[in-house]
Amino acid sequence: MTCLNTQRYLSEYLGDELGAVARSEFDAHLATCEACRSEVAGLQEVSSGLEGWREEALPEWGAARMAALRALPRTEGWQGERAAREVLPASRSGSHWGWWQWLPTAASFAMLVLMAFNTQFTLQDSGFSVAFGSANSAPDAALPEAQLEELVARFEQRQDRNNIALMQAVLTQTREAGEASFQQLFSYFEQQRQQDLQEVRSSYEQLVSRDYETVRSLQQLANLVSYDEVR
Amino acid sequence: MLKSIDSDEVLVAAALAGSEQAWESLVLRYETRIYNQALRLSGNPADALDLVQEVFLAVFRNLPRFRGESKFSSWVFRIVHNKSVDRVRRWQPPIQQARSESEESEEVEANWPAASEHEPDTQFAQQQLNYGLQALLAELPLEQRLVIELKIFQSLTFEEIAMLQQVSDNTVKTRFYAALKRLQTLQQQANRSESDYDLS
Repeated sequence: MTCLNTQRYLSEYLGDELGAVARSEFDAHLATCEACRSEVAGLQEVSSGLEGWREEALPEWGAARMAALRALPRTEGWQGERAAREVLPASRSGSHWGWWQWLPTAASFAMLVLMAFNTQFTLQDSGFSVAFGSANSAPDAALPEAQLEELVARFEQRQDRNNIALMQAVLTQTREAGEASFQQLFSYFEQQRQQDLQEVRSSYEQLVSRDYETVRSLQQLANLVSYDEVR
Repeated sequence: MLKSIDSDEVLVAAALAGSEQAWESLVLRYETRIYNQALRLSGNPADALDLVQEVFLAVFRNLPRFRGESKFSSWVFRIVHNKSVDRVRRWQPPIQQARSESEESEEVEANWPAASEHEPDTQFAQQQLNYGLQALLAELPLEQRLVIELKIFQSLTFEEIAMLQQVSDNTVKTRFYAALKRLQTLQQQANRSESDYDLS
């Protein structure tokens, strides 16, 4: 190794990043070259001087600021959930919107298509058939008027029966509910009355007891007075 | 491999899940290191503390974006580096501005730790030593100061520094060598001034 090469590798040598072979060549050159040896020693001294730095504690007057930094999650609001979502890998974030969430949209779209094409499903003994458009409505139109009226009348009767049954059910339920409420109210008043009676009775007994004690005290007093008079 | 319960990665995950204590532990773990780094780069405690605050705010706000592709410490010190680059330009110390060579020498003489004959055996002496180093580093151009910081104090390789600063490996090595040479020159000037003073 020459002096020129030494200059070239000086930083790596001082930075301890020179490969083993190059380092031994470098050392061999230093052993024979006074100038390079002096140069390296001077720079190593500088480097060692810098390493003399000792870690300093934070100044006491900065304690409040550091405390504020440590309390950042409390003061700024640590959005842990948001943070956790953001650190999730993209693939996992993507799965958040699952395929099943598209189902309502797909169902709505299918219904719209069926309505737009006037789709009709007809159930028959041999299975079912699907028809688009108004082609199947022609036979319906061809129904005899009398038959149609009969169908309408039957439909109305059935509706009436349904309505009557519904009204009856509502009335029955209302009546039952009314009875239940009345009974509940009655039992409440009865319970309250019994409670009041009990309270009045106990108050009366206390009053009587107190009167009795008063009378006894008076008697004792009278006896005492009469005894003194006799003496 | 199982991670220690107080490893950076575990604390980061806990902090992201909402643990205030985990965040506090991370701050406590790094605050002194970042402060010292900032102190060496800025040269004074007030600016250093400003940088510490700025760094932790950035860490806090960007933690959700930390992917764990690099070590947490590397990620934090990358933020320190970037914030330093922004701020150090504002910190350009007044001692570099329009001063005569003699004034510069006097200051270096006062600050160069090797000029002191006494070993730093007290906290005060250690602070003085650190103060001297701060003043010396402040004499370096920003690029060289950053390379010294990353190479000597953060133990990064030339390649890592080159990637961080987006320059070539050779540029980093040149800056490193130039920085050491500059510091050596300052030391020699200081020693000469001391000798002259003793003779007079």
